Amino acid sequence: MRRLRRFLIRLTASVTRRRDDERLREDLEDHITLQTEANVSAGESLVKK
Amino acid sequence: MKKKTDVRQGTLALMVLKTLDVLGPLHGYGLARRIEQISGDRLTLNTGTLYPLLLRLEQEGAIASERGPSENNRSARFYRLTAVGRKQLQSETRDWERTTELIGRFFDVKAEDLR
Repeated sequence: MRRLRRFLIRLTASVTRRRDDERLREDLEDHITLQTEANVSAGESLVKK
Repeated sequence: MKKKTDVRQGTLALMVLKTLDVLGPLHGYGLARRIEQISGDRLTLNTGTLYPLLLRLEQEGAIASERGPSENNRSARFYRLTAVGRKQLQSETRDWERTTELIGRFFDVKAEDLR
């Protein structure tokens, strides 16, 4: 019973971690998109010279 | 060029809560820029610190988030202060004021006052 409980705890932690990682990835993608738009509006070029 | 100060961990949570309290819902990018603006550009915000913090504050119930359109119609996650977050902000503000007052006593102390 203890082994099953430990396994379920590890499984839950793994699922939670993956969900959090996905959320952070999405947030950082949004941030980069918004920052790029702001930089372009401020006159920066999209292409590095 | 003067080096910008990094935000001390632990104080960033208070800055986030206060900024959302004053300005209302903001997306993460907007929140970062506003915090830097409020600091007079003396602080730099590390996105690697900010977003995990926002996730933690949301999991603790201090803030809530939902996706919505940004100013340029991009989809972004907007964060807002919750009632729990407002209470936490009030409590941490009181703690800071107490700490500042206490430290101030040490800055003001003179040897002759203690003899």
